[in-house]
Order: sequence, then C-alpha cells, then structure tokens
Amino acid sequence: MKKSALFSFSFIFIFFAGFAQQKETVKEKQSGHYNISKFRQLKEELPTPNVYRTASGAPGHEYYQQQADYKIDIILDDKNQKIYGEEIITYHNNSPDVLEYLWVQLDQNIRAVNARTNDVKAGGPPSAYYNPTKFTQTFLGKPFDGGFKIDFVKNMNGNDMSYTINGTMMRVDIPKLLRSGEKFSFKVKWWYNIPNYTIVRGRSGYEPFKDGNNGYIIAQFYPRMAVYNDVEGWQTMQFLGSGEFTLPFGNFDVNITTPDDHILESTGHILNREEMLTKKQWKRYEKAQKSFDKPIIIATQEEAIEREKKVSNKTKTWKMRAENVRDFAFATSRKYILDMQAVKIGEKTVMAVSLYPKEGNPLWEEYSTKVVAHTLINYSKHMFDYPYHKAISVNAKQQGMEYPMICFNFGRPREDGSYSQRTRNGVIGVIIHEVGHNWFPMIVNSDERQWGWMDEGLNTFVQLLTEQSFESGFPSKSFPSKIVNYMDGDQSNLSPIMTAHDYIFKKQTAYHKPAAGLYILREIILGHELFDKAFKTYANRWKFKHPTPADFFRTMEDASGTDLDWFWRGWFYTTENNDIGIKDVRKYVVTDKPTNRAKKMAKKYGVDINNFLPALFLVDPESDDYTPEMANNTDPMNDFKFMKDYLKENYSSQEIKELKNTKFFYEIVFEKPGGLVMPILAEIIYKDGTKEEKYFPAEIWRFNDKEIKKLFATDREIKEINIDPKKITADVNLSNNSWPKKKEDTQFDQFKKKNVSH
Amino acid sequence: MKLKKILLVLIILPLFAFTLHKYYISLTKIDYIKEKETVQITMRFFIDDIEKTINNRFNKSFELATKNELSDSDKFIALYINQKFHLKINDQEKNYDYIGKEYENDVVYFYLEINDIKIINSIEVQNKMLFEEFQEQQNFIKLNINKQNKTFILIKDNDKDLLIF
Repeated sequence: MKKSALFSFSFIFIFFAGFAQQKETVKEKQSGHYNISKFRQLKEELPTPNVYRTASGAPGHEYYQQQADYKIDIILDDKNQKIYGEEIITYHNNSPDVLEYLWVQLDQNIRAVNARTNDVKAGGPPSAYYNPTKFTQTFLGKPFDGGFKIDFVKNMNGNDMSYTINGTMMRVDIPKLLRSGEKFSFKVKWWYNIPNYTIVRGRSGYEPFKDGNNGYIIAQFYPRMAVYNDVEGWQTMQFLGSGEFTLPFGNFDVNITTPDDHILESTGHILNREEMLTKKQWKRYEKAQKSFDKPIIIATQEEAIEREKKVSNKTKTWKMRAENVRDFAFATSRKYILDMQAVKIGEKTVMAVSLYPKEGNPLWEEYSTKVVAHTLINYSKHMFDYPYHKAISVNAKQQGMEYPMICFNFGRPREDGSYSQRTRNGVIGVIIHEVGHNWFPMIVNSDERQWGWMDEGLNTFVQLLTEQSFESGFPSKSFPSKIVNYMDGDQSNLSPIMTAHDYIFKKQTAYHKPAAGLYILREIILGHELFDKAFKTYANRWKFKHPTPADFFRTMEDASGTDLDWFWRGWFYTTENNDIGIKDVRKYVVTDKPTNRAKKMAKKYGVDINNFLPALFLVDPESDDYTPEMANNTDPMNDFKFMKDYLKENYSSQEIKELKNTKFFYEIVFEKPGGLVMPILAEIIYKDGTKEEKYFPAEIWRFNDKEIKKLFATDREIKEINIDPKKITADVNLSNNSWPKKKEDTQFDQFKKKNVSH
Repeated sequence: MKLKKILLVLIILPLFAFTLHKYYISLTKIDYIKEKETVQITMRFFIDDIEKTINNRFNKSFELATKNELSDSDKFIALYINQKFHLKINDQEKNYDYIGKEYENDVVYFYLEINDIKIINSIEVQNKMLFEEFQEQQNFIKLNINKQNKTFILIKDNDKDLLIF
C-alpha cells in the first residue's frame, strides 16, 4: 500500500513536471524581482550597528559625546534693542577622533541682510501684505540689520584666531590638532540687533508694547558649538528657519546685565536672586517653594504696573549657573509678573514657573503654572522624572518655542480680559507642548536639523496623552482620525516622515503624523503595557545623549519584543495611507457530500475520496457543488449521524452540552486599497444583538497585499461587520468599512439635513 | 480623460519658525455629485482667522462661536465669501448658495452648493479668502470630480487654478 502510494506520487510528479516544461515554451517569460514585500527587514535602511550604537538600539560600549562649557557675559541695551556679549567656550573632545577645526553655530545670521534663508525661498512675494516697517525693510533698501557682528575670536592668550563664516556657521581654526581627550578654550566677542519678532517673525527677539516697554525673549543669542558625533561628523546643515537645533551638553555660567527694573527668568539657577528681588518678593519666593497646591505670585501685577510707568537708567546683573544643559535662553522685561508653584517629582521638588505681562491676564495667572505642573507630572510618568529644578512658561505673542527649562508661549485674552474657549485651549496646548520639549529634545538630545519628527513627533504624542489627562475630551489634534485629511492629501505635497526637517512640505509630517502613528502602536499594535515599557526604555537609554532614528526604531522593537519593521517602513518611510475595507461576505453551507475541490485534492494525491469519508465539507452556495437540499443542513452537530456518533463516542453528554454549537460559516473578503499594511479591527454585530471584536495582526497581509479571505465560524448569525468602528487607524476611506454597505452621508449631506429640519 | 493642468503650482511652503504656532491654512472640498447634478462645497477655516478678517473688513465685532455672536454674522460671511471665492464651470462663472456654517472646536465649516450641473468639462477655482489679512495664508482646494482627485494650493500671487477633464 505504502509502495503503491509512493509510485503514484512519483507518477504524478513526472506527469506534472513534463506538463510544466511543455507549457513554459509558450508562456511569456516573467522577470524576477528583489524582495518587494512590505514586511521585508528594515536592515537596508538602517545603519550597521557598531561600538557606538548597538543593534538593540542602546548606546554602545564606546558611545561618546562631546562637551561644550560656556562662560558668558551679556549686556542688554533696552534703549536700542541690542545685545552685547563676550564668551569663553571650552570644548572637550571626548571622541576618539582628531579634530582639525571647530564649527560654531551662528543661528542669528538667519536675520543677516545677505542671509541665504531669503534666497532659498521660492514662490513669488513672500508676504500677502506689508506693513510700513516691513515694506521699508523689504523694498526701500532699509533691511533689518540682523545677524551676529563678530568683534573677535581670540585664544586664551588674547591673540586673534582665524575664522571663516559660512552662513549660519563659523569655522574656527585651532592652532594645533585637538586630540582625543583634549580640550580647547577660546573667546568670542559679538553684538547684534535684536529683531522685533512681531514683524520679522521667527524665534526669539523683542515685542514692543503700546506703553513703550519691550518684552524680551532671548535665545540663540550666543555663538554655540555645533554637534560632532559618530553619525554626522560635524553637523553641517545650515539653519534655514525650520530645522531647529541640536547642541552638545555642557555647563553654563552666565551673567546678564539688564535695566534694574527688569524681572528675568532663565535656564539654570539664578545665584543672586535674593539681591535681584525686593524683600517682599523674596519672602513670597520662599513661600512659593513650599506651596504645592497653588501658585504664589512673587512679582505682582501692581508692581509691574508701577515699574512700567518709568524707565530706570540703572542696571543690575543677574548671575546664573546651569549644569548639563544643551542650551541657554532667558526672558526679561520690566512688565513681567512672576509666579511659582512647587511640584513633587519623585523625591525632588521642582518649581513650575510662569512669567507674563499683564496683557496675558487673567488667562495666564489662571492656567499657565497649573498646566506646567500637570505637564511635569505626566511627562515624568511616561518617560523619566524631570531632572532639572524648574520649568518656566513665558507668555510671548505668536511664539511657541522651547529651550532647556524655559519656553515661550502664545495666547492672550482680548483687551477687556475676556477670552474664548479656543484661546484657552490654545494656551493649554502650547504650554504642554513646549514644556514637554524638555524631554525631547532638550534631554533626549535628538538632532532636529536632521529629523524634526524625533522631537516634534514624539513630543506631540506625549502632548496628546497629557492633554487628555489634563481634561478628558480636550480637542487634541493628533488623534489618528484628525490626520485623515492630511494622509489622504495630494501625494505631490506629501513627504515621508523620514525627511530632513527643512524639506518637508507640511507641518503635520513631523508633528501629527508621527504622533498618530505612536498612538496606533500603543492602542492597537503593541497595547499599553508593551508600548509604555518600550517608550520609557528609549527615553531612559538616551537621556542626556544623542539618539538617531535607528536607535528609536530598534529600541521600540527590542524592548517590546515585537518586529515592527513593517510599521516603520510604511508609516515613517513612505507617504502611503491606510484604507481597509470589506469586499464581500459569503455564507457557506455544510454537507457530507464530497465537493469538487475535495475530489480534486484526493485525485492529486492518488487517494480514493472514500478514504476521507465520513467528513463534512463547506460549500459556497454559488458554486456547482451546491444543491438546494443543502440549505436544510443548519445544525452540523445534529444533522449528520456520523457526527453525532463521533461526539457521543468521545464526549460525555455534559461535555456535549457545553460545546459551541457552530452553525454559521462566513468567508469574509477583506480588501486593502491603501498602500499601508495595518491590523484589521473588525466589529461583528450578531442578529441577537451581541457584539464581538476581532483583531487580525498586520501580518495577515504578508502573502497578498491587496485582498485576503478569512473564514468565520460562529454559533450566531452575523448582522453586520464594521472595520475600525472607533476610527483609530487613520483609515482614509470609510465607505468600504461596513457590511452590508452603509450609505454614509457626507459631511455636507448631514449638515444639509440638519439645516432643512429646523 | 487625460488630466491637464494649465497652471503649475510649484512652491516651497514657508514652514513656520514656531514649534506650535498655528499654520494659516484653509481647506475647501469641492465634490461633484453627478447623480444629483450638484456641486457640494465644504470650506474649513480657523474661526479666529475668519473672525479677525470679517471684523476688520466690515468694521464689526462678530465674536463667532460665542454667546456674543452677532445675529447677522451669516449675512456678512456669505457676502465675504461671495467677494473672495469664485468658481467657473465649463468657462462660465457660477453662483452658489450659502447653505450655512457649523463650528467644531477651533474651526468653522461653511457649506455652499451649486445645482443643475449636468457635466463638468473644466473647473476654475479662485479663493482669495484671508489673503488680505495673513501673509502666509494658503488656501487648499481639494477637488473630487468625475472620479478624479486633485489638490490646488492657492496663495496670494497664484490665487486661482484650473482643472480640465
């Protein structure tokens, strides 16, 4: 018997082989292809792991990073809106490499008259309207004279050093090679005109108020060391306006001289704060250190109004020290009100701080510090405890920009003090976002010049969670359902997330799309437990270090124990979108008569079909196998004697009672017009009113990217199937998501119906 | 049916220097429903942008989406849209009906409709809304006509575009 089976098998083999050969001569030759599966490994895209960065996404055993320490003296000229500065930079070469020169960032040069930023802008007049200042600056030959004016670059002996300015960067030529483990100190002296950012736009500058006073929010005000690392060498991308910064960590000693009626806040500890405040203010400051339930106003609105009335000619010097930060920024004005609240983070007390002009009230005294405190607590929970001693939110018109420990945020009430819900939500959203940036990229120091999404996208994701925990139902903008319009947009205006920041078309590419992607990973693909552990692992591995995209992708896989190559490939490396639908649902019937398919199979293996019997077969009512009497077979457990006998033989009557009486067999055809692969979330609604949620992992698409079939066997009749009923997969086309097909009204039709009815 | 675009929109979007600063963008969806012979237009704007613009233009204080919203705000909005938004179908300027508006968080939707459109061979869209107020305003137009999807990005110096079927 065994032998004869073997014989017939080899016979079949020979027969088919011969047949195939014959056919090949007629068949058109198909060309082969490389691996085009959407599940192919991401290895081709990612750099090879090495001693600096491991395959698991962690820093390698020889990981290094450079350090830059600064001693800076700044004078703010409030009358003429100028900054004068002198600094000593000490650069530590911790790399194994020999450096021949140093590159310094001069980001202020984006405002220089001959800045390249203006030349790379295409597309007709840059502005739709020009106020008199802007018109004069743009067309009448009086451009704003911005940019660093470098007085000198000297070595520590006071001798001039040679330097070359290349746009927003400066190469400093060092007298001898800087070897591994060595450090080099040099001095720079400079000044610049502070831009009125309400006219020239962009980050930082001053805002003039109607009362004649200015609010200064000052950042990228000093020549800053560029990053040198194992991935980029020196960071050489010019600052064009969008791709923000990456900077080496270091320690800062900063003295800032302001008019003596100013209130200032900055990165770092203010060492002589007691001297800078009045006795009353100092008392309130001390009280605030212990106020965990509400903010204490230290410099009051009444005091600010008094200071605003006249301009002091005297100056005072604020002394600051900041350790292990990648940058330094400050805000100062005689208009500022200052409040603080203590927040418990782990074992530490952190101060939540707000600085605002009276024009920000009553909105700011009500919300700012409260939102800072909530952000510190919630972000600490998702990543790691906030390591600095304070976080400051400064109110500044039109701004939303982050620096270590300090950020500048928009949002003002109307002149009569009233404000809309929109303005309030805008203020809450921007404060969470900008304070949140302390984690990405201030501490998890990714390179925004290269990859905006690594800080904007990750931060916008945690912002979403934090907004929802601040107030359930907060109108967050990065839920998957909110990015459908973007994902479904004209492909000629879309860039993959993995695009350098100054080269993306739309902001959502770096902010909302990565945030929504992480939301999908957390809610659907990994679940909260695996996701949260992996996300936390990434943040902790790379805090106070410089991660790259590969380190993020690898850590998320490594710590969740899940292959996510397909997800990164689709969501981060392409502009494809998600569209999954139900093409067809067929109900099968059961019979004990062999179907043609079964007969064919038996024949193929040379076995008599009777060898398989008795057995049950599933029949498609539209196939030739179907006969009308099969419709009577509605209860497979009881309709066929051999089935009943089998159950009796093997199970007790109690056990038989407990069996699931499966009677309905459906073949569901899922289609996928969308280019992304995505898990299928199917909601099954039964005729008896019960509901069931089915989850099919994305790998269900691995052998067919367009269409797959799935058999559903149930004890209840299905009434309805809906894909992604909660709208959490950013499905761009809902018209194919239901069976039976639902005729969904468009937004327009819905509105019209509502409108006609009343 | 070959898609032919007369004006080539080739611009680099000026991305904002601000991390969370809002972007000045509107979206207008234009759908042609052949069975009903209608063109449905759904516009999406930021409420504060529209409010500022029509307040300045008509010297009023509308306070949209608040209790203090003026009762005749629709009249002025319809007037403003009429002045700034123009459609030519098959080379003919078409009037549209202003059906109404709807608020959702910080955005407002305007609904416009054109009836008795039997066939569309070409469509020209001009949308100059908000250009006078915001220098970076971009008006996106998403067309879904004759089973074709196309997006126009209209800016001040290129405020109309044409699609021919």
